[in-house]
Amino acid sequence: MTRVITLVVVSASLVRAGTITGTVKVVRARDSSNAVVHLSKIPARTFEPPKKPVVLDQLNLTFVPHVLPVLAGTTVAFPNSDEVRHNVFSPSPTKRFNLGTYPRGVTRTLTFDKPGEVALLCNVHTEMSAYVIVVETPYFAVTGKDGSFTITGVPPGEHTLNAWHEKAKLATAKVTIQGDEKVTLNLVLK
Amino acid sequence: MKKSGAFAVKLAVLWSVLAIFPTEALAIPAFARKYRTSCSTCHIAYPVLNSFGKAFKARGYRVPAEEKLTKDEPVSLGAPAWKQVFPESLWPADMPGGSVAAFWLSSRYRVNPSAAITNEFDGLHELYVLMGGTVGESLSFFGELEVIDGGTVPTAFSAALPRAFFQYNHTSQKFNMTFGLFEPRAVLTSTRIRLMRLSDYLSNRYGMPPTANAFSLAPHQRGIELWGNAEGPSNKGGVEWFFGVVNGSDARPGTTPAGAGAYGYGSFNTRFQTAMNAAGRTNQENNSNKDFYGGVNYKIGGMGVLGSGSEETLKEAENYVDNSATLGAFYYRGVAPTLVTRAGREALERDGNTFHRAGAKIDANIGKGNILAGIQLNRDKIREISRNFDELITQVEARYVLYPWLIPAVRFENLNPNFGKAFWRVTAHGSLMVRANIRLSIEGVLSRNSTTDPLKDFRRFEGGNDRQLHARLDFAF
Repeated sequence: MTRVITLVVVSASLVRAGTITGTVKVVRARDSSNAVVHLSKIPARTFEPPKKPVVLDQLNLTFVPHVLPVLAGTTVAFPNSDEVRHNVFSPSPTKRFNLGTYPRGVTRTLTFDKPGEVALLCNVHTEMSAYVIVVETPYFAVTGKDGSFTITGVPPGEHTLNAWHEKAKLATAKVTIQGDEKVTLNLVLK
Repeated sequence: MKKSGAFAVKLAVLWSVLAIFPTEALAIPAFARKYRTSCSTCHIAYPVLNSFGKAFKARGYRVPAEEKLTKDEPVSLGAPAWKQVFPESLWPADMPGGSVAAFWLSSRYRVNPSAAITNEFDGLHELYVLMGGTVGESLSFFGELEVIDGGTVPTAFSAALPRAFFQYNHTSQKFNMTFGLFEPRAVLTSTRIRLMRLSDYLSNRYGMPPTANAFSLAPHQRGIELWGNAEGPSNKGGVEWFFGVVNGSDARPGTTPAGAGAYGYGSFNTRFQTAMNAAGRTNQENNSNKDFYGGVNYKIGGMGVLGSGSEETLKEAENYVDNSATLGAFYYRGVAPTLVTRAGREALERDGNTFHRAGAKIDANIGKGNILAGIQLNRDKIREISRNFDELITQVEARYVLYPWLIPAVRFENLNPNFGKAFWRVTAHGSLMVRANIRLSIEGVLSRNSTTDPLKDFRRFEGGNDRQLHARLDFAF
């Protein structure tokens, strides 16, 4: 789905090779943490997902982390480290699933193949929420509270940079990496 | 010694000034607590709203950047992603994480030469419990419980609970709904957020004495109101529309204006009450007809009606300045009972009085000042005698923020009926904000009638407010 894009490019400066850094400001969120910044598919390039599962835990009635970006094909492990039983399911079109309800100590896994947003819910505790963001390249980062991010090792070329946040519309920007440089981008998500 | 004595006096004066007028003060009613902001963010001498406060109210008691500026963590009633599961699940929402209750109490000293007790001190004049909050992204609620009003405990339900409503705000803010017991927007200016507390506006509260119609636009009605807002070009000013259907209850159940007459000035009240009792009714709203009203306000210039431009911070400096002008008009139509003579006997005709209220206003903010001028026509049409009873009310009110803590104001009102002589009323007022949530005010009312005929002196229907002075202390927390 294509959405309206808002982008402010503040500055671009040459510092180091293949690095995109900057900040994301989420206008309507309490802070700018948990935004996912990632590059779109790079033509003629394929990337192997990690061999080991990535962990998204359940602890103190919350999913940890709240937002987890993964490369398409990655397997995610959902352990229950809490004192109570939890359920993990997703109603999202990208990946509908239901891992069922299971007790402490049990881990269930799932592989995410299709790029997109996957909202996670627990039907035992309706306030619990998390997102798995399935992306097409290994060039991604999650912002901290101050909205800052850094993506390293970006190959030369013209790329599309995406910024996602659960409370904002998706924003994209074109960014060109010519060689040894560091590009700084400041993005505003509305 | 002399020098040090003078210094001590200066120091004492400085200390007292600093103690009375601190540079920062926090009020803590429900919304102030939620956003950790001062009363002065939304109010000019509370309960008077500034432009930001009006925008806050228009958005369903939310600031423009609601989530960012809410300091009070709400209690989740379902994560937002549950919307993807609907209708197999409840629609997600949240509710206030902190207390939704606030208190407003006042004490006053009143001088009234017309009253039995000419000098009276009310230790506790009013004690209101105000409740307000939001539920999810689009619902909100507001309630007001009057524990003590006018120095006594209200016995009537409508006096004890003058406001209790739910509100739905569409995300566009263009189509909203209020449901319950609320103050309609069909007034020249709100009774609830008026600066002058000794007397209400004649336009809001004055009945129609000859027809014994005690209906008044304020302070509340039971029903449903549809309304919406849209900001103007460049997010300046904007438009507000409203339409409501309400029961049309009179504000004073079980009473008609004291001494009111059936189209004349005789002792009609007793006969009317007798007829009501015979009909098994305890108040005047004894017909099945629902009243309806509608209107529009258009703000030219200034802050957008939805608070655009105030998203990043809760502005607290000089937020009483908002150069703009609002033009507004409304119309209200209702049906009330009247007394008719059938076969030589007096009886209550439930829908014998079709009444109309129409008003127009201009509300201008100029620098630190504000002027509100309005005109209102009240018309009762009695079917039995095919006659209209009219009152033309004009009013002008001005206030000026000398300092954020010192606000003088004056109001002039004139009521000109087609069934008697006109009278006017002047109210002078001064508010001193001791703190953002503590207000000391002095107010005087004087009214004059154009006749010396006591039967045609309609000031008496004001309830003895013709010549009064009061000093009052308000405290909200």
